Formats: sequence, structure tokens, C-alpha cells
Amino acid sequence: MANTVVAFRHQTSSVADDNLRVNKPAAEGKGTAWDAMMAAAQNGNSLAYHRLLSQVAVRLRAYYARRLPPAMIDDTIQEVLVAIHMKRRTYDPSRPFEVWLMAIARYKWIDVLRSLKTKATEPLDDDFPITDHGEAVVNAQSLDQLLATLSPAQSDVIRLVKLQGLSIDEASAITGQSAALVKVNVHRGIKKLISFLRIGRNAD
Amino acid sequence: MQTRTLIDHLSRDLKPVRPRTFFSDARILVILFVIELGLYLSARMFRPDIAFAIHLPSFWWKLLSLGLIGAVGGTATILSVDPTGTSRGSLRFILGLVAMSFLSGWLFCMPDWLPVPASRLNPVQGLHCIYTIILLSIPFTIGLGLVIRRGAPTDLEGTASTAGIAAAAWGAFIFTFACPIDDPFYIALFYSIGCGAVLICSRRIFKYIAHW
Repeated sequence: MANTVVAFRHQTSSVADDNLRVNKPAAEGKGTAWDAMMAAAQNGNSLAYHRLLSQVAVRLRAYYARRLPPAMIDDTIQEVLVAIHMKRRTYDPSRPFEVWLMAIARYKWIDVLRSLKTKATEPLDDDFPITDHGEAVVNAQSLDQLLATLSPAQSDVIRLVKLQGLSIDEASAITGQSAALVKVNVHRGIKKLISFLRIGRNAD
Repeated sequence: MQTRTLIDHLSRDLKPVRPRTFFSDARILVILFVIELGLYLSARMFRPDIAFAIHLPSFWWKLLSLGLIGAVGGTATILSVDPTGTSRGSLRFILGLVAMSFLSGWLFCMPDWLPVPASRLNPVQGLHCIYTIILLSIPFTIGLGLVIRRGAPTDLEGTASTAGIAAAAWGAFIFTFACPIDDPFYIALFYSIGCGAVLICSRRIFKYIAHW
């Protein structure tokens, strides 16, 4: 086991750069790799631990997807990750990590279900009074599509100056364009949008 | 907090840990047992006729039954504080042991086969037994609580039950050296009440402690 841990340490140092690439399939991290990572984590290898927790989070998301409401999944995953951290000394390196992990995941799942019983919930009426934001959403989408027809330099400054209300100087500082160029790009961009809208109206 | 941020935070704070083993937990309980028994006997708390008592089958029946139940209960507790462990099978085994103990006491230690007269029961001494068993089980309750906190039990009810049985049996085991009464019927009745009281109280405490 000690040899495995040492070998894994070499492996983890070479994969340190892609340490944050966590969206690999969970199956890749399964089996002995997880066992070795956890054993290394017990010896204080934070790189291995980071990689392990990242892969475990993906595995847990898949596990809870069919067991909990979507709004509770993130919180439960975080609870399990903290539990793994607090109880990591209870993992026996000679046994499969995944069995240990799933026992904790199942325990926390039951715990969450039990806590649901004690939390008061109130069903909402179907005609719950709420402002309709549909029009605003459609307008925002249309505006995004229109700005996408402009060059990035023009659309950026229009967003900053006309939509977010920044001054020419602030927009200049953010985009790196000169103040004069910001004015020119705003002017030309708006002119291009107006002509685009006119063409569209004539076509209708 | 986002999951990614939490993972960064947990990885940054990582410190080496020594994996928990069965023997590291067992060592705690054995040391506690030896210390308590040693203190109890060194304080000359044992019965005055101990030299005579060790020749009685009922003395050894008490000692072996309670020692076995305590040892099995302690082992089951240590095994069940592993997240993958469960104590359901161990509980059934312990219940079988208790039944066997009663049966063997009846078969081998009863002075006669007649129904037990009420005069053989000594309620005052019985209350003293119950009280002392409860007191003597307190150190084991603390020790088992420590073992449970060190572990990560996922079967809270089972772990709390096995730990309660172990604490009660060990308390009664130590009291065996001081108890002057060897009548199996008396022992079955008052030891059961004392151990039952310990089990009920410590089970509640252990269930609370075991949650993580």
C-alpha cells in the first residue's frame, strides 16, 4: 500500500495542472484510483484530495439526482463533502473507498429526508400573485441578438455606456479603448442598429 | 458557498490523519476496563468471602455470562462505528447470548428445581445492586461515547443499543466481585433491572452522540 501511495504521489504531481478539470466521467475515478487518492489524502496530499473530492462531487450529483429535489442537491453534496473531511480517518485504506463513500452518502440522504419531516412547508396557490417578467425577458433576448450583429468593440461599449450607464471615461478604462474611440464606436454601433431595425421593418 | 469553493477550502485545510483501526478503539476500552477493575479491587471493594465464592458455579456463571456479553457488545460497537458496518446481526447474537445465560443459570446454578420463594429475594440488597451497577457503568458509557464520536456510525439505533448493552454488562461484571448474593433468580431479576436501566439511559445518550 505504501508503494501505491508513493506511486500515486508521483502521478498526482504530474497531473497538478489539470487538477481543476473535474468534469471527467465519474467512472474514470472509480476503483483503485479513488482508494489510492484517499490513502494519499490521509497522508496529507492535498492535490490528491482536491481531485478526489471533485470527482466525488460529480458522483454524488448523479446519486442524488434521482433521490432529492433539485434545490437540495447542492446542499446535500456539500454536507457529504464536509462529512468525508471530518471523518476521513474512519476510512480503512485496505478496503474500497466507494463502498465507504456510498455508505456516507446514503446516511446523509436519510438524514436529509428525516429533516424534511421536521421542516414546515407550505404549498403555494396556483394563482400566486407575481409580476409577469416575460416581456422584459423577451426584450433582453432581442437586445442580445441585436448586439451580436455588431463588432465586439461596438457592442461592449454600448453595453457599458448605454445599458449599464457608465461614463465614457469608465468605459474607456474597462475596454482599453481611448475616450474618442469609445464615442465613435457607440455612435457607429447605434447607427448600425437603427439601420438594421429599419431593414427588418421594411422586410415585414 | 459553491461546491467548488468548498472543495478548495477543504483541500487547503487538509492535515495528515492516522486511519482509525479496530485495535485503536479496542485499546481505549480495554485500558478503561483494566483501570476501573484495578481501582475497584485495590479499594478492597470485593466481597469478604471471595475465597469461598470462587468455588461456586454461580459466581463463574455471573462472571462468564456478563464478561461474554460485555465483550461481544463492545466488539459489535467498535465494528458498527465504521460507516459500512451494521450491528443488526450482532444484536441478535447478543440477545441469544442473554437467553443462553438465563438458561444456563437455571440449569447449572439453581439450588433446587422448586419454584422460587419470595423470601429468596432481598429487595434492599437488590436496590443496592441496581444502584451500584448503574454507577459502575458510567466510565464505560463515557469510554464508549468516545469511541462512537471517533467513528462514523450510520446505524445509530443499532450502535446505541450495542454500546448500551456493553456498558451495562461491564458495569455488572465489575460488580460481580462485590455482590454477596449468588442466587441465580435474584441475579437474573435485579441485574436485569440494573442493566436495563443502564441500557435505556445510555441508549438515549449514545443515539445523540452518534449523530454526525
